[in-house]
Amino acid sequence: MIDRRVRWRGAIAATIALTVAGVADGNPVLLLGAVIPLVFVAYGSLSRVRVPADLVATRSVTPTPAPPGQPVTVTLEVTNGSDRTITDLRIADGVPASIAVLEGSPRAGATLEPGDSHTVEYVVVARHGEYDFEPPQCRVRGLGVSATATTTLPVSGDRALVCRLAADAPPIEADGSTRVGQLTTDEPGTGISFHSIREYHRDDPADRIDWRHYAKRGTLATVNYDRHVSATVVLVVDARPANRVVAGRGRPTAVEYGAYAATRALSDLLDHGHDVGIAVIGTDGPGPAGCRWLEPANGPAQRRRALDLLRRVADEAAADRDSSAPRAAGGRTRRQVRKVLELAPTTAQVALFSPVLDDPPVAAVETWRGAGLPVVLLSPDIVPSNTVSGQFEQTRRRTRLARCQATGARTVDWRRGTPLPVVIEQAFAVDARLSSRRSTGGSAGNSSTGVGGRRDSSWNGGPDDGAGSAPADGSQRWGGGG
Amino acid sequence: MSLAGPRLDRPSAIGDEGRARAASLWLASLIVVAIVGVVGFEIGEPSLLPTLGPVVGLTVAGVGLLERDGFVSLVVAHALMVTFGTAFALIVLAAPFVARAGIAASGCALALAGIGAAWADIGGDGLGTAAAGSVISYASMLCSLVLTGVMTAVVYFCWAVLTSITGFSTPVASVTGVLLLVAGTAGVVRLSIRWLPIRQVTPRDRRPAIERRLTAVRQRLLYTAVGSIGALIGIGALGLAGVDTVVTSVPLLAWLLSSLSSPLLVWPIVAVGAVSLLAGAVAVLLRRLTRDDSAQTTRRTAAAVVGVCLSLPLLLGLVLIVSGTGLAIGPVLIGLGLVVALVLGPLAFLIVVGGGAVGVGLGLLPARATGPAVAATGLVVAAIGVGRANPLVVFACIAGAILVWDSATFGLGLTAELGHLPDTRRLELFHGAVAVGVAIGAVVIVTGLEVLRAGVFAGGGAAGGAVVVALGALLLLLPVRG
Repeated sequence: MIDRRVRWRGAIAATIALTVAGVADGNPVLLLGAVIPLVFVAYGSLSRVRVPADLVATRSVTPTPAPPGQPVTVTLEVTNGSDRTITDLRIADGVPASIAVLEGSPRAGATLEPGDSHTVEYVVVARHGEYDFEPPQCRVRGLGVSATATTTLPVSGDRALVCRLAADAPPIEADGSTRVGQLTTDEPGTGISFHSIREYHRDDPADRIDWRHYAKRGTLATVNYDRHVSATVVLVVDARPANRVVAGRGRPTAVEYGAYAATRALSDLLDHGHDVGIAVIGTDGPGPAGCRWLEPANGPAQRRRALDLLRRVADEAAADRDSSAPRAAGGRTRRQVRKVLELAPTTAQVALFSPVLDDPPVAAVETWRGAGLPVVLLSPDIVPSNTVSGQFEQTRRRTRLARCQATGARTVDWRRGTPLPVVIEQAFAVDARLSSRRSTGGSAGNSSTGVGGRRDSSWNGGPDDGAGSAPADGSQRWGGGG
Repeated sequence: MSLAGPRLDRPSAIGDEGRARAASLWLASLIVVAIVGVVGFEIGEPSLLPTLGPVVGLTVAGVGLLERDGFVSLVVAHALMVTFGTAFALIVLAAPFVARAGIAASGCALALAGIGAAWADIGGDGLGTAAAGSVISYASMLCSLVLTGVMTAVVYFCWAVLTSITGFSTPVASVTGVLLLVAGTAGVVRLSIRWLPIRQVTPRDRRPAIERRLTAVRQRLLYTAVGSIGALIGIGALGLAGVDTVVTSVPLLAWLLSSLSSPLLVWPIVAVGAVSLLAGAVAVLLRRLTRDDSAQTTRRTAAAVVGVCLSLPLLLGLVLIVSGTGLAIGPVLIGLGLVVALVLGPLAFLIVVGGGAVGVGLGLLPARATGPAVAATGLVVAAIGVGRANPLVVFACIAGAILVWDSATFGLGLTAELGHLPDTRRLELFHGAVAVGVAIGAVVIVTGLEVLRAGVFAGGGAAGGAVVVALGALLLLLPVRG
């Protein structure tokens, strides 16, 4: 589309003023001077522009697919493929309306000589779903600036930003362990690491006979190994409408963050051979008490079912993020929390994913802890702290986290802008330090804010997590490490 | 609507239009400064630029500071407007009536103010706010002057009454004076007790006792005032009945009554009243200042405070005129200068900024490009002012005006379309270079025409020159018609 803008009305006014002044003053110099603005008017009028035909645009989106909340770099490269210099080129990339630009600008202005390229680079925040970029808008001006040609550029390369919950989760078939769990128990059994020696029984396999013992003592003995068992973990996603809120325009909702964290935990736990169940509270589902429920199990089929469920939860949260529907359903949540307690096996551990923006998650943790279940709470932080009200809300949220911690639950505060793997790594490092302190009689603080360390310990819930619970043995904990 | 037409993409992704891009503004600023410097030399005032620069700069700073909400910032803003703004307005309005060179100086001041306004992002709204503020300051100054006069008269009257009371020698007059004083003091103390935050600063547990005591004090003060007035009426009645001679016939009683008007008794009573009144007034003032006001109230208060402060030099000027008349010419001249500057200066400033605001309101000045428009207008005025001087300077002024408008509006258009983030310096410099080239070409053409007019058509007089100009204009208008 070619357009011509009026931008020399001031010059016409100057010409008239100078002419009047020249005539009134009888000054031919002013009369001649009145011609100068007209030169600019003529220059603007003579300027021509053509819609650029040989502009080539290439877009790259890195990484894609990306997990929710991750910064994604978008690079748009525009190349002048023609043999003419483009003196005034303005580009605006077609960022999807629901995506927020975090850094940089999707717009640029440049002059391009033949063969030259200009790169526009900016960072957006991924949120669950698939978002198509619109073609970049391009506007070219002639030398006189008055004439403009606006068009959309055909673009090659990436055309969409794909955000998936399982974007950075390893496929279970590729990396999964063939063993049944990685938790050890006090009971001996088959395995790799040495546990004890016992008297030989007639039906013991020959490869477990301790021949060295036979050589020394002349009697047969059988080697016991550490028995590996799997844990049962129920991942509970707090998908109440109250949590379908965002930290800023174009950001993922707290439910999307929770679903993403649950997806990571699911992949990790299944990968290590544990039984994992899913419960979604706060929505009207087909399960008991309106709760969406997936029985604890393991294997690729369970992973598929669980991912499908979490994806649906995130889809609903993403679709509802702009709605202003009433968001109070306290009774339903209480019923669903009790139902999770009924459905979860007595030896199960619970992992709750909630932003803890109100009291129901605290009540849920208290309920589960009261029944003796070990509980881990991972809380994505979506409260902006750059306002007084935001700081107040943040203080209330941290108070709630402290209340959860006081019940013996393990709390992990997932700060905004920190990648989830880093948060979990820090949590493990803190836990390792706390474990060593506990063994020397230290206090049982179990909030994760530490840094550094290796991910070499399990997601155990602290020494008091086992109190009142009835696991098969005292050493049965989450096996997240590997 | 943006200055440069419709935006390239969604408004939410654009950012504010505001100020033009820096490179364009720098180019426009350099042109203005260079031309003002040259014009200064041309009109025989080499110090024109260093003289106008601080005055105009501080005026623009004052208008720009009006965007702030802080009380101190607003006071500084109004102080700058009523001092440097006054000087600027007097230069713009009064200089053209002094000499022809004054027109050039006025234009230069306008050009500098326009480019300053472009940097400070001052538009029609800013000019309107400045005009309203100057009206409040001016009205406050006049009201304060009148109030000061009234207060002075009251104080003088009170002083005269008090000195006459202490000078009374007759017993009846002495008693009358003291009763009058006691009644007035009781009333003033009662009023100040009402103003003072005695209850508020008392500890909470002692408040009931303090309230009882205050009630009692207020009652006694009321009785004292009423009793004194009643006694005054009684003395008046006795005087009318001629009984007062009975009192004077008893020497001891007469002496006692006469001694009531002793300064030892009168001045302590006056001191109690004055201190009470002062304390009450301070309490009211502090309460008023610490009240949580709206931004609009703060703005008005700041303007009023500056107006009140300005009334002091105005009063000084009046005092100098009154006291110096007939004695010395120096103080009278200083007084006249102060009075004229303070009475006419703010009015001149109001005319200048109010004219700008009205111009924006009527559409004569573009709302978003007020600064560049004023700068260009100023350079055209400067060209008219130096119309009889070197033609090259005149042409440079006119070309500079168009360049300033072109460059600044180009930068504004870039901001409107691309926002403040993208780097567009190369684009702006390229456009600036092309525009400067066109301006130089125009000046060369016009200078050639001037040489022709002054040489070949010199014999033809003004008519020959006009023909040349008309032909040139028609030639240039041909391409405009397309």
